Parts: sequence; C-alpha cells; structure tokens
Amino acid sequence: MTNILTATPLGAPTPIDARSIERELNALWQETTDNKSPDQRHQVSRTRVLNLIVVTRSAAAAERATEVAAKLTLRHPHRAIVVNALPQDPGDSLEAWVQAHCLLPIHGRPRVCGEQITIVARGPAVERVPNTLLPLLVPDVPVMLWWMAGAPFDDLRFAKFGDLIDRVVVDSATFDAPETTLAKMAALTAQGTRISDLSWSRLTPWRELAAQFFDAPAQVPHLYELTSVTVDYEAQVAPGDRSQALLLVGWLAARLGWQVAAPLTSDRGNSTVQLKRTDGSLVQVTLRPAPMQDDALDRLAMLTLTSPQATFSVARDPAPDCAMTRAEVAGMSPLERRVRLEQLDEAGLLSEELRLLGQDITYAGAVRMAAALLGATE
Amino acid sequence: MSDTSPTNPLRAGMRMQRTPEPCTVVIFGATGDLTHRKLVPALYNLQRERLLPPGFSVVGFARRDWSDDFFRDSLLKDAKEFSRSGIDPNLWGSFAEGMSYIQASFDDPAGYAALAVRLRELDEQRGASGNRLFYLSTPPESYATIIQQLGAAGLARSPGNGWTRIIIEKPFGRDLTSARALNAEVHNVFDEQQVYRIDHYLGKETVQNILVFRFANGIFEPLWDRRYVDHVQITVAETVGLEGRGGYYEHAGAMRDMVQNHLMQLLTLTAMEPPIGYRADAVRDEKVKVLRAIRPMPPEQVDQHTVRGQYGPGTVAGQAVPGYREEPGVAADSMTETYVALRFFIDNWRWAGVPFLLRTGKRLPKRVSEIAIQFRSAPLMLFDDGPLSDIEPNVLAMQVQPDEGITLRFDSKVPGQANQIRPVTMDFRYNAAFGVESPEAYERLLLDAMLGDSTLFTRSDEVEASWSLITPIHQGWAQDAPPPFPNYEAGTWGPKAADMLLGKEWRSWRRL
Repeated sequence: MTNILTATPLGAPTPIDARSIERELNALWQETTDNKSPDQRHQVSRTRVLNLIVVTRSAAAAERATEVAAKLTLRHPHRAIVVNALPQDPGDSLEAWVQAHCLLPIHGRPRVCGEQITIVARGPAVERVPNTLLPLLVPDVPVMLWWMAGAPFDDLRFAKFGDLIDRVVVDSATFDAPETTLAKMAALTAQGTRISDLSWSRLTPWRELAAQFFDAPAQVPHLYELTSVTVDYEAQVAPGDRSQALLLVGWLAARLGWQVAAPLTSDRGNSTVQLKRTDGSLVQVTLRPAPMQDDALDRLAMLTLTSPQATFSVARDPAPDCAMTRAEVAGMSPLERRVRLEQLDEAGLLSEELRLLGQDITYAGAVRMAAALLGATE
Repeated sequence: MSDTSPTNPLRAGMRMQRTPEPCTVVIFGATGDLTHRKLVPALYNLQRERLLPPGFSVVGFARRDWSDDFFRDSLLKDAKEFSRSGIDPNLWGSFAEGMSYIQASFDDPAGYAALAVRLRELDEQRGASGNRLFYLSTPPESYATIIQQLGAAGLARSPGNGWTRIIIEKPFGRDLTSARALNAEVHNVFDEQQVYRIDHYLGKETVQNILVFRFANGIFEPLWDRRYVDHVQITVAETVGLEGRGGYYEHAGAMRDMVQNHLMQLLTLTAMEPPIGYRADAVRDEKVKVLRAIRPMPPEQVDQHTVRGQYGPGTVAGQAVPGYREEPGVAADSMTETYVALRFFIDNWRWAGVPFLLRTGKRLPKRVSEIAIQFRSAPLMLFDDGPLSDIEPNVLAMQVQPDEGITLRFDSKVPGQANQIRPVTMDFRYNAAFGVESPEAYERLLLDAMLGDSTLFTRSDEVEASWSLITPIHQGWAQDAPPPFPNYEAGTWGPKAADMLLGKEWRSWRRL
C-alpha cells in the first residue's frame, strides 16, 4: 500500500529545501497515525535503520524501486530516496515529493511504515543530485546506494557519491557486458569500496549447498584433492554470459588457494581453464552452456566437484525452488537429497545485502579470481 | 591453510551459518505432542533453511505400535499445521526419507538393541559417522529408565570420532533431592559435556538479547548495580488457565512450572557479571554464581518473602472463566498455587540490598513477560514545589514477549509556562527494527545441540543451585497455615498481599 501525499516541485535553480521535506514527512506520519483507531495509534512505529538511495534512469525503474523499497520496509525500515536521473531530458529541474509505505499489519505486530523521498532530476540538474541529498539523509545510520542505472564505473556521478555512502549495491547480471566488468569490480573492491553485487548474492544458496558437503571432517580431504570442477550455466547462445559461473569458480579457487595455470579457452561453446592447487596438481574447470529454463537472472544449472575418491553435485531440480544434491564417496552408498533453492526477487536479495555493513572479503576474493580466470588481471 | 586441516575452508568468511556434521536425532516419546508440534516442525524448518547436514536422519522411539510410514504421515499431518513456513511437499519427501520408527517400551532392552542396529545402519548408509543426539521428550518419570537403558546398550558413546549428546526436557526434578538423584543417574551414563538440559525460554531471541543489550553496549552496564538501581521486577504473566494440563499442574504449581526455570533464567541473565567470553561454560559459570549469591530463605521466613495465589472464577478478555478448583483434573479443595510473587536478595557487591521482585501467574489480565530495572529517583526536587515523589523514577523495561522490545522511561517537561513534569517513554520495538520472522526457540536450541554449543542449556550445578533456593520455599509453605485460596479473581493482577513484598511505600508493581 503506497500513500502518496503531495508532490512538491522544487524549482530548478533553488536548492531543495530539506526542512520543508522533513516537515512534510512529519505531517505524513502524523496522518498515518491519526487514521487509526485509538488503540492502534501507538502501534505505528517510525523506525529507520538505514538510508537507501536508489539511482534509476527511467520512470519505470523508479516505480520498480519504489515497490522494492516498500517490500524492504518490513525487514529494514528505512528512508528511501529514489533519484530518477534523466540527464537527456529537456529542462534543468529538480522535483521532489514524499510518500509513505505502510505494510498491512500482521496479526500481533505493530504496523510498520517506511518513508520515501522521490526526486526527478532533468538535464544538467542531475549533476547537483549528490549534494542535494546530503541534508535529506537520516543522521547516524548507514547510507546505502542501490545503483539501478547499469554499470556505474564510467559514470562520473557515481564517483561523486563516493564519500556519501557506506555501501553500493549493483546487479552485474543486468549489465550490458557482465564478464568484462568483473575486473572493474575486482579493482573497486581492492580499493576498499564496499560493494554488493546481487548477482553474487544469487550464488549464496549454491555456495551453502557446496560447502555443506564438507562440514563432515571426513569429507574435507576430498576438497583438497579436487581434480575437476564443472559448472553448467543457462545461456541463450553459447557461450553467453558466464559471469555467475566464473564467480562461483572464483570463490572455490580463492577459498582453496588455487592459481590460474592456463587461461580460459573456448571450444564449441564449452569454456575450460586450468588451475593449480597449492600442492601443484592441476584442476580442470569446465563451464558448459545449458538450455535456458526461464528468464530468471539466477543462471546456474549444476555444479559438479570431482576428486579421485568422490563426486559431489548440486543441480537445479524440476520441482520449483528446489535442488538435488548428491554425494558419491568411495565405500559409501550415494546420498541424494532434495533441498530448497529459492529464487529471491530483488527485494529478497537486497534485504540480505543490507544486513552486511563491512567489506565482504569472500566476495572480494571471488571476484578477483573470477577476473583472473578471464585473464583480465594478474 | 593446511591440507590436513579438518575444518571446512569453504565456510570461512561466509555470510551463512555453520551447519552441523551429519547426524541422527533419536526422539524418545516420538508419538507425543511435543514431537509433533514443536520438534519435527523445527527440524523441518532447519532443513528448509539449509541448516541441516546431508545424511540427516530422525529415529522415533515410543511404545505405540506404529510403522515407519504411519510415523511419517502422522508427523506430516501436524507439521502442516505447526510449521511456521508451512510444508513444501517436495522438500518434505526428501526430509521424510531419513525418518524411521522403533516401537518398544522404554524399559525393554530389545528396543535399545534394535536402536543400536538402526544407528549403525544409518552411520553406514547415510554417513552419520556415529554422531547421535538423543532427545528425551517423554514424561519425566521415564528419564532415568531411558538413560540407564542407553548406557546398558552401549549407546552413551559413539563409535569412532563421532559424538553422542542427550537433550533432557524440563522439568528436571521436582525438588533438590530428585534433581540431584536425576543428575546422578545421568552422570552414571553420560559426561556432563554430553548433556543438554533444555529450557525453551533460552531459545527465544529476546532472552538472548538480554546479554547483547547488556554487554554489547557501553552505556548501560555502569548503571547496572546497587548505586543506581532501586529494585528489579521480573514478570511472566499468562492469561491462559490450565489448557487440559490439570493432572500435571496439580502436582507442579506455578513455582515448579515457571519460577524454578523460566523466571530464574531471566533473573540470572539480568544479574550476572560479564562472562569472560561468550562460551558455554564462561556464561554458565556466571549464572551459577548469581544463583549461589542469592540469599537462601529459611523455611520460617518464607512467608515474609513470598506470596502465593490461586485464581477463583472471573473474567478474562470479556469471557467468564471458571476458577482453578473448577478446572478438569483439579481437586475441589486444591491448594496448588497458580500465582507466586517473591522477593530475592543477591548478596554480592553489585546487588547488595537491591530487591529482585518476581511474579508469575495464570489467568492474569495480559500475557506479558518483562524485566524492569527501576532506577533510583533524582536526589532532590528542583522544579516547582511538588514533592520528589511527583517525579517518576526512570525505568528500563525489556519486554520478552509478546511485543519484544526495550522501553526507557524518563521525565520530560510538559510544554507550557509552568515547569510541569511528566514521564515519557522511548520505545524500541524489536520487530519494527528487524521485521524478519524470528525462528522458533526449538530451532535454535536443536541446532545448537547438534553443533555442540551448550551456552543456552542448563548445567547440572545450575539446576541444583536453582532447586536449592526453591525447595526451602516449598518446605516453608508446608509448615505455614494454608492461605485462603482462591485469593484472586481470574483476570486480575493477583492477590493484593503481593504489595507487601515491595517493602517501600513508593514502590509499586508495574501496571503492564
């Protein structure tokens, strides 16, 4: 439920008046509270645990951002500032309005509301957005930037946000050329920029399921004896976008201390790369395109890990939101089970990312190795 | 990173939780309500969250003549109703493959021999590596028998490098003597490190948050002592009556049912010193020290420090409800207490002279559990001519359920020309800041037991220290003249006599 209260055009050359926006937000909260019966009144809580700035490039994307922000309210009550940046539009204006998202109360819980400021910037006014945002932030809580406007690396406006933000969220699966941006992402994380890539977040269940095979101490030695890793990834045309497969392999390589021995080559759609284990033995990595199942951005189909004594696999299952895991270890009967492999939407993924405040060192290692697999660095 | 390291390198630095090693959970009393409504739904949700290991199995053990299939179907039926996430049939199918049932009475050695065989098969077929978790979800009378039989069947130790642990449900004993006897039975067969005495209160997020609140923040701990605190009130109020548990409750009463376990846990977490680390024994050492510092009540002084109550007929939530003595399974002249208020003093440097006021009861007006730290008043009245008592002292209240949160009450000026003062509250609502659904207490506790973390379980010395405070109270009550039961109306805050425990005219029980 979205309750749009007013639209306040703020005029092109005048700075946005933070006080009037705050006043309007207060009035909006007052109204949200007053609409309730007396015993419900105290139950609307205004909590803000973070600032979420979203930068979009179209009205449609801004609308999607608004929907996601509303969904996030329940887990991360926040102040959202959605900036629809339209540098090509005629005129030179900044317009802003405020709105509240209130979730229908869940039984026995207080009604939770979130607040949003939407800014439309046209023409040269786009350049003034970062400074305009400063007084609009809720003090003393983290500032997250969700960059919905494609790859941000060459965008000067992105650089201007640098000092303002604690963490930037992108989705490399939506970039025009995800593979080529891996090296840029690696460079940014190496500089200490705290990045969340939703494409990486989609791998979390895959990583969990892969890691689980080795929670039993008896299985750990197989991990150090892996001889081959195969990743099947969904692709429209071979080789397609392999970035998720590369990140997954990059993660394994970084965790296990593997180095690139022979760079990535492609043959009839399959891509292969040789890695060297810490003991000097080689690991053969193969990335195989598989038919697309749906248009979801989660594009992995299967992961297979092989050592001389054991084979472990995780495969997407025909049953919705499920995967099959299988462990075949010499001397034991094969063990198969069906587990949950949910496909999270943007709100779900973002919600997970917003829990993290520090640098994601695991991601930094994975993206660095993923870039190295492509021969892009090192 | 060593090639021979047994730790899983893929877990390092990950954003997800550790999962246990492959293991088998054996539930004694597998046909009962707890298994159907709590344990199996909790295990299913852990599986759904990818927190259970591959090769995880459940073996049910009970007297009823059920087949494996009947056992699975019966669990599924209740899991559909009680699982917080519902049931995905695809996931359930795979989860249920690891379930089986053994029919035997608890004193039948053949049943344990069959269990031993089943566990060996599971070790081989499903890679459980000898890891076993026994769960005693039976009436307490059976605990000793099951423990003896497990020992006799050689099941108290795992083959190879595996682990064997045992979870024991409450109540753990009904007085100091029986608790000691049960501990002795347990220790005949299991080492203390293998034993996980469960109090599901400790599995609640907000109970765990007491320690985080106290020890992850720098500003509260300096105020947390006799210099600044006037007294502490701990309330666990229920609106429900007996809910068909008359037979059990008649012999337990509020003291055994609530005070000995839940209220004492809240008390120790509130009063304990900072542990030297967040590790099982470090935390439990501090809790035991609090219990040992509580001034014991000699039986002849019990009437000065405790008030008992039993509800008569009344009204709860607009409904007329019967009195305790009219409930099914309750004697017409029952002297069982359904309400207790008591005052403890903790004789250590931190708390000397600060009363800890505890109360709990059934058929009270509101379901609420909270800990309230009542601070001392300002030393003098600076504003206007009113008496100092016009200023409400500061209160820090930690609500445990149902509206989990923290409230700080302080005084503020009423807008206007005069210096009028009124208390206001600063509210933090747990679920407003963290809208995510909290896991069920049993999920956390089962997972901790499988991971070998006993921080949230009660140690033998803790349970004995707690009983050694409670048993003399029962003895004192037995010597005293019987109270005029029923002495409070259902739907009220308990007997008026509880006010005498407050000790000072400016203190009052909190209106909740």
